[in-house]
Amino acid sequence: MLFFTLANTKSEFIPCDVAYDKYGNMLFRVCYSILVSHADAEDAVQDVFYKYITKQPTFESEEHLKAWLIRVASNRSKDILRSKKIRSTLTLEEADNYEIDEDQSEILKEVFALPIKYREVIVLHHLEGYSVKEIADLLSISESGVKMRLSRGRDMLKEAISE
Amino acid sequence: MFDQKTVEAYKRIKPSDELREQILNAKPEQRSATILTLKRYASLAACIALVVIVGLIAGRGFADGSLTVTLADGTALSAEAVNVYPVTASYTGAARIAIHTGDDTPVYPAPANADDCFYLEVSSNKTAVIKATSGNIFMYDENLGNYLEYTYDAYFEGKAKIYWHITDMEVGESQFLTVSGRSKETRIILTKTEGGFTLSSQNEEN
Repeated sequence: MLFFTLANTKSEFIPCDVAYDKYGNMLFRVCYSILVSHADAEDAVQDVFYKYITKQPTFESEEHLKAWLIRVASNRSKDILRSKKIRSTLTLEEADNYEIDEDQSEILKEVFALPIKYREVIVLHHLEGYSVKEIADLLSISESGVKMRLSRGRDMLKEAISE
Repeated sequence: MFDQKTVEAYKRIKPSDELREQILNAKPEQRSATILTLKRYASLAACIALVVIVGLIAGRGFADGSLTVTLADGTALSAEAVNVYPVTASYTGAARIAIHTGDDTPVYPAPANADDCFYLEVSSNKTAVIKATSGNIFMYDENLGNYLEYTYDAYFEGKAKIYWHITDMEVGESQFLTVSGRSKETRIILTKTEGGFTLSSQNEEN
């Protein structure tokens, strides 16, 4: 009985191709929202799956897997940003040269111009659909911290849009 | 604010078709690269352990790094709070000079958005790192001849000129800069008061 119980609850490593097909695009969007660069975001996603392949982690549920992937993607993207020594102060004209496609909505462009700590919670909540509690767990911050950043981020967006 | 059009535009952000193949095809090489990397790290770890053991046996610890933080006029920060003012930037011909509103000590050069910044000079005889609980740090890069903006950690050795850009503080609120060396840490405390701002510092041993 104990053997079958253990066998039924044993978590298995989900193959890389399955994980990529299910979460690859979402992870790319998360990385892109931090790096605002297709090339850098692809590098970050590659690094995430390299870590996934080498560590071969197992999880109790797919939700835990998804959270792990997002956490790794977010941290890796911030590492890349840090190693590039975020650009010297940009003029508004230089900031417009970020890789923002013409067909992206105006609001999206302003989202990608937000400071990162507001940008990531806005993206995770309003665009990826995560709850405040889920975001707090993902980013290892308090729920009140998430709410504060969401509020401040929305205020900054309203200011930017009204200009 | 976040209507369907915005969400759809966001969901259109996708990687190239080649990324999937690059990730899946890289697996065998990365596995062998991992083994090689592990061997390399094991050798490096053994060397480092040997150095540490020799150092301990010799009975000499590492020299402590000294950290100092001063304002533009050379005043060293201490536990006693001093009134400070955000910088205002002005231009003289091709140069850009930041002038403190409080004591008019000019600081040259300054980043493009020096307004709403607090200027500090930090020095450490060992590599140290500056972290802010809020705002961004602009640190002067001698090689570039310009200021670089750091959202997270800013590493330096020797003397560093920094502008701490921080806004939206409430009266009574404090934010912190931490300057961490190998064995010492200095915590810089910026507090917004009814009359303006104050700065003070606390030193701690790591």
